[in-house]
Amino acid sequence: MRGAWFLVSGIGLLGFIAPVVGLVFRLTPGRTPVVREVELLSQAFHYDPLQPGEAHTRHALGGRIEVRWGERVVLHLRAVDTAHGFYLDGYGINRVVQPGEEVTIEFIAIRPGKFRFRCSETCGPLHPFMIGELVVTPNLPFYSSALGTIFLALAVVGRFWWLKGEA
Amino acid sequence: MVVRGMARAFAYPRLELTRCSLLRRLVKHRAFQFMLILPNLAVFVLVLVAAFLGTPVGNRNFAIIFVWIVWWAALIILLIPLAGRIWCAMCPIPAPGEWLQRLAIVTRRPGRPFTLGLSWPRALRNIWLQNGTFLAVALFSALILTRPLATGIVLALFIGLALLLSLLFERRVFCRYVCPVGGFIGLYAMVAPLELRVKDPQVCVTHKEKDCLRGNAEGYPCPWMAYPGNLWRNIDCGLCTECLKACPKENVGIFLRPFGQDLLLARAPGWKGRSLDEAYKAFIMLSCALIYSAVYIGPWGFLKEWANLSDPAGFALYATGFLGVNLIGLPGVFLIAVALARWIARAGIPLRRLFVELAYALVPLGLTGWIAFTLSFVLVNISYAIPLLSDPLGRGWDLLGTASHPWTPYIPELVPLLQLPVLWLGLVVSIGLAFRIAQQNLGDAAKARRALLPIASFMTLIVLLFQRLYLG
Repeated sequence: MRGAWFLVSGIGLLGFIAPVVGLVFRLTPGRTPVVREVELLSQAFHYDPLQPGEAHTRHALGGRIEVRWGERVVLHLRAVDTAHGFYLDGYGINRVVQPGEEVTIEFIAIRPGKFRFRCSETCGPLHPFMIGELVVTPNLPFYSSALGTIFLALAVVGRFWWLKGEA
Repeated sequence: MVVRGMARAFAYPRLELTRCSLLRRLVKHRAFQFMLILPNLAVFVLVLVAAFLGTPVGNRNFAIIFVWIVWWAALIILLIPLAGRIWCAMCPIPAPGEWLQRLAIVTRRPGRPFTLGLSWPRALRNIWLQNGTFLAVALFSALILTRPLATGIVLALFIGLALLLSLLFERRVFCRYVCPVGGFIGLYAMVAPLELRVKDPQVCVTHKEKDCLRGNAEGYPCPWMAYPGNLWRNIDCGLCTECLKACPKENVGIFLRPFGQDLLLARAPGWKGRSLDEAYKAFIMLSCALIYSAVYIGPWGFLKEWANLSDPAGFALYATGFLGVNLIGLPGVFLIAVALARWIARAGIPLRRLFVELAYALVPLGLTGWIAFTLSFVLVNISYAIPLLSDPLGRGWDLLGTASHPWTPYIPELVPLLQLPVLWLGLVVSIGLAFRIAQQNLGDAAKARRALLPIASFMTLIVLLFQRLYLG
């Protein structure tokens, strides 16, 4: 049983390796990038991503953009009410858009995982919490770390079940 | 049932820090607490000035950035996990009331204190009121955390209430029973590896004068209304060191110990045991960490608008959901897990008792949840503090030449890699603690192992929820 416990614990800890690989190292796929265009409306204190031609609804469910790993992302950033910023974690992109203008931001989604984008231009009281999400699928860091959590919990519970004499 | 009483008091290794003569002289000095409070009082005054007279733009105002980012991060990441209630020893909020009550700031003034000296109602000698005050502040957090004026009003209300209560009631009633911050600091202080305790409880039994309770020429009676001879948990001690000064037997010290010992305590003389009010504090804190992670760090604009009172109907929905999750949702799901645990273990213990006992196992998970949430915004926003050193009121000053320092998020993409081990640590410790508590209550290890399955599943689900919000 001791071997089983070490196996489960090991798998649990491996759950931390994948997020490290995903979030730290740039993994560029060796194929021609598919272009993904998204219109991104910024408004105090949220982002609304729209597909080209889609009408803007004020209470969009969330400022979440999903693209596939390796895609070329083209964001058409617009501000609805006042000047807003767009800072993308992990990509070092930082742009400001004024009401009435459109800023185009292009990048290749080179890392799988979730990356937040935030307003970088003071826009009101909740400015520090004006946050959206870019999810580059497959979201390996999340799935592997979730698996890691389950195995880690199994390992801790297993310590009491399998290593009775030693617990 | 494991009983840890006088005979087995402090059945864990302890290192007495106050054996160091320099530290002992320092903490016994009458000016010790004043010297801790003084710099914080100076910053607190600046916070109030900035809140009422500075710019209304939150991230350009000293009050918002230094209270809700710098102080909060220091409190939740460093002070509480490492030193428990040390903040309570240096907090400036109750200081004016206490000084007025004593008619002295540093010295030990003999005679009657300046107060009506009423006793706190017996029905409120618990942390239910602190649970309520915390929920009230937490519900309006979107206003308080982002508007300097709201922060200023709340802090001024705290100081006014502390002053009023010190004039009406004996000692530090505000800190012990009312302060919304003190409630969760006390809960999580039980994790800390630092404690103020007696060296030998037997010495207190034979010492009839009880100077720590009555006070003497060296020290005031315990402001937290605790009797050090029966002090077993950090939740009841504000680390003011008055008992250390007053004890003629030199029987009080400050100790280093392994983390989380108070949470393992099942029974002790003079302590009524684990209670529902503290269990609910654990639920409230865990729920709030999850809700805040969704509202403030999540991408859902409508949640931010509702929390921000932009739309009264939306806020009503938010308030219902917020209070529902805190008071019914999370405790309800945990109750189901405990009922399952009780059934699987074939345990005879009442469900309510087991629910309360096992809720304490959520304390490490709640603390690590808060640390993870704090990490998600502190590294990103801490750079707002740099220009404020030169321009605390946002009036266009440049006192130290740092006013034009730009907002610079530090390693934001790596924050999940910091959050993940923190959450995992909380999960591992909480599951281990749940097993120990189950063993205390169910009598044997076989039953505890079975009872652990649904409780560990609940805890794993909570961590997966955090992970979904941070990484998913």
